[in-house]
Amino acid sequence: MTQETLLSVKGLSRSFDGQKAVEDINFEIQRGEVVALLGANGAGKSTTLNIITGNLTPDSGEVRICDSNIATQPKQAKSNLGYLPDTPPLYRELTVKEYLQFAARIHAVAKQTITKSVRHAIEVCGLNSVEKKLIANLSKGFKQRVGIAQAIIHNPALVILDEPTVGLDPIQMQDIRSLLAELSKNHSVLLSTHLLAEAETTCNRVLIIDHGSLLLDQTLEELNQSSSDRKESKRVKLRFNGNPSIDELNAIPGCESVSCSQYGKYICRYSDMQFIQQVQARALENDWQLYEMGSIGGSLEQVFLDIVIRDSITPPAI
Amino acid sequence: MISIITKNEFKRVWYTPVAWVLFAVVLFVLGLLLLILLNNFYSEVQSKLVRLKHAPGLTDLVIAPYMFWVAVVGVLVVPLFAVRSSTEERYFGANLLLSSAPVSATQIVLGKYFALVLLAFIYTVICSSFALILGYFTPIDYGKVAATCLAVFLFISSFNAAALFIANLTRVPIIATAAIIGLLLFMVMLYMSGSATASSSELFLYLSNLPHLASLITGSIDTTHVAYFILFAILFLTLCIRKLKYSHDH
Repeated sequence: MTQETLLSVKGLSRSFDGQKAVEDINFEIQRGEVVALLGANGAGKSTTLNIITGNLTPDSGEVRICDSNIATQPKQAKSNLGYLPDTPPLYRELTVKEYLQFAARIHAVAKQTITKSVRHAIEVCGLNSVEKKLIANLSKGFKQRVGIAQAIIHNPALVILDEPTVGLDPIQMQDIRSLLAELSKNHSVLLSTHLLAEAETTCNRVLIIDHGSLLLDQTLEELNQSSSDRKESKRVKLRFNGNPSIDELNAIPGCESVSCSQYGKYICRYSDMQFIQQVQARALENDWQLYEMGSIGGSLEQVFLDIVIRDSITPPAI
Repeated sequence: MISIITKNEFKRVWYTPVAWVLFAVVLFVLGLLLLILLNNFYSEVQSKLVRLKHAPGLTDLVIAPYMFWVAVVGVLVVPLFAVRSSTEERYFGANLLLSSAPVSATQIVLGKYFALVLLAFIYTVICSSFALILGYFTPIDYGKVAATCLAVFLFISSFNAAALFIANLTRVPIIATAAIIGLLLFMVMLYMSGSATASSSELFLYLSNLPHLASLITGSIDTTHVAYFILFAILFLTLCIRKLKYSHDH
């Protein structure tokens, strides 16, 4: 079966005041794919999405949506694109229905199908109970749903969502994830997030971006496969109130490597269970005040940490 | 597409109490002003006019000054809706709805501008209807009244273009409002500086929008002044479109 490329990103670079925000980003999204763009805060996710959606001009590179160049054929490219920015672009003084009708009109939905499109978006996004309410009076979760509804109102081939679950409570997050699963049946989705669990449950491919560079582009299947192929060494995350040095942790029997994030979290790779017992014993002995110890689960989390917290950083002064 | 944006912007203006309250206050004040001018005309001016041949009438001495004030108040009030339409939209991130849709910067700017023009038109019609009521009781020069209406409409509409441009320069509504009032004061300064006996300047007088309003409001429609307002609007709309396109680079 031939694949249809909906989004093609080639050599995308952009800097602000001489500082590289994204550098040489290349990837493609095929029809039917749900892709997660993962990265820590400030990794370059939103900049990448702003460039893809035509809201930011790249210094170099090219973005094609359904074979239309976003820079030279913006109207054609944007007509195949639905976009939810990190803050939903809402008119608070309109009701949900009025807002969606306007969104349908500006996306050039045919006059005779506007009512049908609005109804469909309302139903898919579960907005039936609030369609006559003013957007200003909606909860954050519903506002997010309205934002998603405007992104799919014109039935675009590609839907881009920038951190759709940020700031939501766990129930609202679960609702939005179910909605994403629903969307993925009919649209290709590019989802930016820094929540790994969200990517694991909703996406079938993962892009990891850090410091503006694309460091990984793999399907979840490939990730799981490579994880099981790897010589399995276990990892544990540790937090101390005391201030152990990386060398001290490295010296514990069974330890393979130690890294430390700027927030004081130590990631230790170990091959022997003896390491866990030894860490607890040394912590007591040296008064490191160990207060968090947890295994790192899921292949995606391991890969992400591998890539993003790659090298050890000086432990923070506590 | 322009008409869709215009319709939405115009609708949004009336969906909040701001426009209703603002218009109610402005119309109340202008109604009082007309009463004062009328009272002054009947109690003091009219008796002096009896002795004059070709004396100016109610149109020149009441309606024209009233419409001048309508223009001045209108140019302070109507451009504030440009701040609501653009600056607030950017502040809340709602501008991304239009900029991510298959709509050009020109369509966005013109759509928003025509909504402001429609607002200026409604304002002019309502305010001039106050003056036209006088026509039931005394003869007035409808031609001159039409000319003053055109003057008010062109004055406010052209300044709306400048307000829209300024409103797109910032995300902070208070800064946009201050800058719009600043531009208006600059126009007044140009007029004062240009007409001062010590430093009179034809260029300053031409650049300021007030002399053009003052000239049209006397009832004589001069294409020079009409062209000034049209060019003023085109200049700022072009700048606004460029700003919107250029903002993608930041």
